[in-house]
Amino acid sequence: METPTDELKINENQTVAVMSPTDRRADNLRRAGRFFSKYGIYFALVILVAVLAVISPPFFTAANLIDILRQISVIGILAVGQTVVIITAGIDLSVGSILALSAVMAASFAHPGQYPLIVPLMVGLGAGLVCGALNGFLIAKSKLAPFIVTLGMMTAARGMALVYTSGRPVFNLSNAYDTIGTGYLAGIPLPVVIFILVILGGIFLLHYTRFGRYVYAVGGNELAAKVSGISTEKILIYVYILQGVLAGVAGVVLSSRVMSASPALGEGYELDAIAAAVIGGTSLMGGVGTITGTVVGALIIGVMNNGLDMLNVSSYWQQIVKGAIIVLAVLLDKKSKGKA
Amino acid sequence: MTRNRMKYARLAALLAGIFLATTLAGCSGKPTAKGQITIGVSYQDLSNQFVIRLQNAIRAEAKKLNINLIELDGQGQSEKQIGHIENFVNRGVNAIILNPEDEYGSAPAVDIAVKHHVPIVVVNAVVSNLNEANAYVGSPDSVAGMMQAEYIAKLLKGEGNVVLIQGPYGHSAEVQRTKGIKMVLAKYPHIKIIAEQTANWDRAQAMNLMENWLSTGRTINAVISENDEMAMGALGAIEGSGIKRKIYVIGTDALPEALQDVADGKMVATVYQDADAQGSMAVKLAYDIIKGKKVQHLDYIPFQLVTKENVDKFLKMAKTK
Repeated sequence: METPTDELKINENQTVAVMSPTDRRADNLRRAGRFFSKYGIYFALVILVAVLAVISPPFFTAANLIDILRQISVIGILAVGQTVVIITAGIDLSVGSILALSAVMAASFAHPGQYPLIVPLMVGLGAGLVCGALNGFLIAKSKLAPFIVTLGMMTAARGMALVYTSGRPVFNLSNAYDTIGTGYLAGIPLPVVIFILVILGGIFLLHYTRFGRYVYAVGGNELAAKVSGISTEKILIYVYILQGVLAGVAGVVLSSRVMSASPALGEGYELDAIAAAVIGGTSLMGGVGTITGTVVGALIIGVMNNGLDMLNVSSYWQQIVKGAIIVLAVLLDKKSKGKA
Repeated sequence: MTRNRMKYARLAALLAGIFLATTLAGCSGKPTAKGQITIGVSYQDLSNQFVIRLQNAIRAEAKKLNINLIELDGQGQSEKQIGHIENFVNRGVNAIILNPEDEYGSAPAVDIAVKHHVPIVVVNAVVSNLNEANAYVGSPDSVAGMMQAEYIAKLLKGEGNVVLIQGPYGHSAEVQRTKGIKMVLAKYPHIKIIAEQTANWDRAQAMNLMENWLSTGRTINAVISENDEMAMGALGAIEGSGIKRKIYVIGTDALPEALQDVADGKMVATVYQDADAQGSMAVKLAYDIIKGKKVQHLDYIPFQLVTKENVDKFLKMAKTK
């Protein structure tokens, strides 16, 4: 229904572009605007970092920047999956709870001298896969709204984590397991290495495979995608499975980082993951979004948390500042896109 | 139409089945014997370890006195607890035990019980209208904070920089512990609280917070954390940072994992709050009130500071449970 008007708008813009050859300054502005639209959110990050580096010198040190990367790795891993989900015009509210379920299940197999490391890892990822598959099937086959299905999973998976542990955290984990969250590879913390691998995997999947093109097609116009022969159901199921597995990865990383798995782990992380994707330019309407944008979104959140802590801003104020920066960043992005 | 209706009927039957199966699996399903006393218990949050310990104590004591329990979980929301008390009143329980989440938010729950003349015992945390309740048993949180601050002040010999990791703002334990800590530290002019922030009882959040504080490069001599989970998060950050200088870390709750850290000398101390005594005392008080006995209005169970010297006793106790 809305497609014809959209097309009309595009035509209008084109005519305007052709009809203003005399005003070079306007043209330059427009070109700058186009550049800005593509990189608006990147500028927001650069400005934020520059401001913090000036008012708090210890902020801009290698050690602190690595800390920030490590701190956003868990949210970042979830956000990569969330980006793919949101591009299909869906949403996954259950990632925080699936993270907790995966973490407690993995950790319960990770006590010292119990099983080889591969077992807890497979258990953690497997738990995520099963939850994700259930989400995907319900959304694709029964045509229930993703919001509702994943809301249900969010509650149920948290409940399962509590039942599984009787509400107690799982601790006394093997050194091998703890190393995942606390170790380094060539000076880079392992959670960051895992995060980078997930980013590269996500970029490859979305931008260099047929599956990726289909994901955009499903979110852009599901009916058209279906008519053109794409099995939208299959795509949706795979997308939620992917998100489930990534929540499992995040669960293993977080529990090994804090060297224990509490069933309360990851509460509210779903919103941070969604925020990272949306700040990074992913449209909640579907069809639009990039992994790199999401990574920048996650960085903005991480830099903000770190900077405000270092400046010892009171938590009350932090929440106001964070809320404002999130809305401003998206506004800036949207404004610049409108101008282009 | 009929096919659709059948589909709905089947779906409804499935839902009812799931509901029945889970409720049956969820409750222990013991029928109330005639004349048996029933007590309704509303917990603040059964995903909190301390509250689970409290629950175990309450269950054990109820079993001993042959009391039937109806237990509901507030899941950290005081408005849920108000609903619980209404529910208990409607079901005609003999008494209510309330483990309030919020000093003010849970207070209306007490009003409802009083209005309907159902005896109510408040356990662990306090409510603002405590005087209306029949009895209270617990350990005042401000005292736990005072004990933490006193011990840190002693270790620092009255001089140094302290950071404070707090519970969720507004939670009664956070408010009271912060009050206690600041009251004591105010007596030491050379001890400064250089940063304070909430980590919402959460280990991962506390770890990030501590990393960020350490990154500022300011000297931190001690960390006072309002629970053990957050203290262990701070400890993780300190260990990860490679800082060799001793930073004293103190927590509260005496979780088994934290006790081990105290024994290993990683954490200087934690504060033991006696969940067993609180829980069993609450049931006993409710029982006595039902039987028409006069009870003391306020019962305080003392805290105990757990340091390397006496940690073995608590470790043994934790292992037997």
